[in-house]
Amino acid sequence: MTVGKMSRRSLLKLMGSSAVALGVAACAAPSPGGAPAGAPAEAGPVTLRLMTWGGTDNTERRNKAVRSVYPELDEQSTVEVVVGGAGDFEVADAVRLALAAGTDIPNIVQFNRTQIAEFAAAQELLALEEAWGPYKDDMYTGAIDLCMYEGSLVCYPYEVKSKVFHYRQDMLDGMGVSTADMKTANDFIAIGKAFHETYPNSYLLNLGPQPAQYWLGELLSAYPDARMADEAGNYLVAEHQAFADTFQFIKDIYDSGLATPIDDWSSDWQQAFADEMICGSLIASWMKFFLPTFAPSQGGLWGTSLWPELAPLADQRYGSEAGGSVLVVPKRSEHLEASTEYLNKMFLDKDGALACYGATGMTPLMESARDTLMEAAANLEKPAGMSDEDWNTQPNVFFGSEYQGIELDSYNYVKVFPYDPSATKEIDILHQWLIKFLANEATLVEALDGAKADMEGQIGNPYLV
Amino acid sequence: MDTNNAAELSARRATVVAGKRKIRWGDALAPYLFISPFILAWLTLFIGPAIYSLILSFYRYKGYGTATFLGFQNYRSILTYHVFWTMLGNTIFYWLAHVIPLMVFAFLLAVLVRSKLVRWKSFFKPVIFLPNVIAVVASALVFQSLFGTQYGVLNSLLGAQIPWLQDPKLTRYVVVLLLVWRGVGWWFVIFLAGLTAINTEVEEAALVDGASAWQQMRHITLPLMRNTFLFAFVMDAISSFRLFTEVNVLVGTGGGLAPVAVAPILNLLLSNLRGAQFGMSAAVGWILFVLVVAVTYIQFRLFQESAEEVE
Repeated sequence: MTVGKMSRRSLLKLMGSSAVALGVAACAAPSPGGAPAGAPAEAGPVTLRLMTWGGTDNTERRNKAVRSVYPELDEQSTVEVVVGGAGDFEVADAVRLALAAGTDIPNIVQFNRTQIAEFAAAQELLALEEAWGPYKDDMYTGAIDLCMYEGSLVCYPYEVKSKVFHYRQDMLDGMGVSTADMKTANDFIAIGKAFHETYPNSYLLNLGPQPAQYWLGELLSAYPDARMADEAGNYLVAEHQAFADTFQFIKDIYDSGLATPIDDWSSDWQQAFADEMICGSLIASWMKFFLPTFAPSQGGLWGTSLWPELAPLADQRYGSEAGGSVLVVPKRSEHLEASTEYLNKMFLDKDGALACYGATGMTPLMESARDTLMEAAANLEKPAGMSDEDWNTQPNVFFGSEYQGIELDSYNYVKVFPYDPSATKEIDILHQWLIKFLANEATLVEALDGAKADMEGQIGNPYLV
Repeated sequence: MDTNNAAELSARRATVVAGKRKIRWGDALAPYLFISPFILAWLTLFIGPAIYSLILSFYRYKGYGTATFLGFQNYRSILTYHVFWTMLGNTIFYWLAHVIPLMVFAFLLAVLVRSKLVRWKSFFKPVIFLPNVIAVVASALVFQSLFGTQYGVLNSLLGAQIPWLQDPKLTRYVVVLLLVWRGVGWWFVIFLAGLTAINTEVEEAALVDGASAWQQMRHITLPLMRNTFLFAFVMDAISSFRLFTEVNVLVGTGGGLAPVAVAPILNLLLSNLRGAQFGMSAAVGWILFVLVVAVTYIQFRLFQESAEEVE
């Protein structure tokens, strides 16, 4: 019988039997791990799925580097790097989905520190005290603080966002001032204004009407006991001095005229550095990767230091911009031991971390690597095959050999703000009110009261999320 | 006819009726079986998640773990949140401010390209459609470069430093311009298709009767394009309420969302998702759904009333 002559009854039978066959096939589909359900565990190295955001290149280079130092890792595991989305929020969504489904949970996940509280409070992260054990004493206090949640180690430190002040050394020298003269907030503002008077086309900072959220984290984290809400879930933003100080300091900078009103990451930002309009950056250590590409012709002209103390604010040398970037092992994922073994070698072990440093430029976060790093910074040699253009954007080349020591010192001043499980939304709300305050649409009291009211109305108890 | 024959005849009739019934059942069932894959997919992928999100909107839920029933608290929180009303106002502004220039411009272009005044029609059609082919993100980034305060192309030409993307009052109009620029090609094609569908005999008859170009437009073209306009306005309203990428790429800094003063309502949904408040996010989605249904209904009524007036 040809298809063309198939009777309706035959066609219906065929469709029915196809549906049954599809159902049977679906029921017999392989398990998420790839092996059929009930099959014996596969021998040989296990595959670890590492979820990150943006792209896989950097993580894959680290992976190769650490395996070049520890080839025995190849016998234990291979790593499949997967992109959870364009940003860290998408990664968090992907992990939530996996946790809800209970399947396909990545073995290793990269997060920003602000997201850790939610998953740690939900008891979804593997406790890493034991894994850290042999290494802990060697790590910078900032790296340890980054990986702590409520007194327990739950992460591996990928990047610590310490507070480093980048400025045009040559121009400050021309004025006869140094960062040591910026003890107080008033000193800083006065020097910033004098800077613009001396160099009319240049500003010590940039600060637009929509300042980046990281301003909040940087300033607030310096306060020893500041937090958004107490343990009972009562918000403290209108009462704690840290919030008033932070808002007021940003407003003082904004109103003083010391900063050009260009927002970070706007289309003007990069060019303004190149044109010497922006001559300083009160941000975090990660600017070392951006400044050399923003203003490649200014190599050797920039200086770096810890942040000024900025009294009467809490000592602003301390703190961190949102902590940094971390890796975690979800408790409900498979191959926990292989995951921790791999991450130990990559982030806690000196040789592994130094190999990763060679591959990606990410600074190892253990004290014992300091001498090696300082020696490398003092005896820079351009690798064969690297172009002059690329070489000149290496932080130690662009900022000079002193930079490495300052960056490493800054890790001992890192203090991570105690983000709670609702941190993302709290910061959003606080930021909205900061913008209103800068635009003179709210007084300081109204802004802080408004932020508190919005947090109460939109989040409720932040620990119940 | 004896009794036996009558019984046999009756039995035969019963068999025929049963056969027909069987065929009728088959006839009735076949179409449903043919569309069943779509129905199943629709129930599984659309109706199921929709019901799930409706249920979710009454809960506090972070996407995993336990969910806590809150009743209407999520809806209350959103409707009493000043940011919701600001974002709703922004969204309505973007819709109303762009829809009239967009539709008028696209329609006039379609009329012009269809007319005998324009040569090289095959050149103009793709050129006008081109902005729609460019990715939204790319378009927004181009506009970012055009409207930068310090180094923007427009400010360089004007020799000024107008904060197009920093002053919310100005930023809103840049967004509107972007929406018009991007949308005009799409609606141009739709209107051109609508115009092409108009019977030329009707237009020729009007011409023979001495109707001017304006009279033809007023009394023939526009009435016959009513359904196309209805489709265009409804679809544009729906997409306007789902506006997201244009604004956030244009003025969201550092991968963040746009400031509240210029943000569309979908930002509230996303910020709740980012904050692991799935229930709140679902509630925003359902409020948005109700708004879109209301706006669509109003547009249908307005078009219906105008059609009745004409008749």
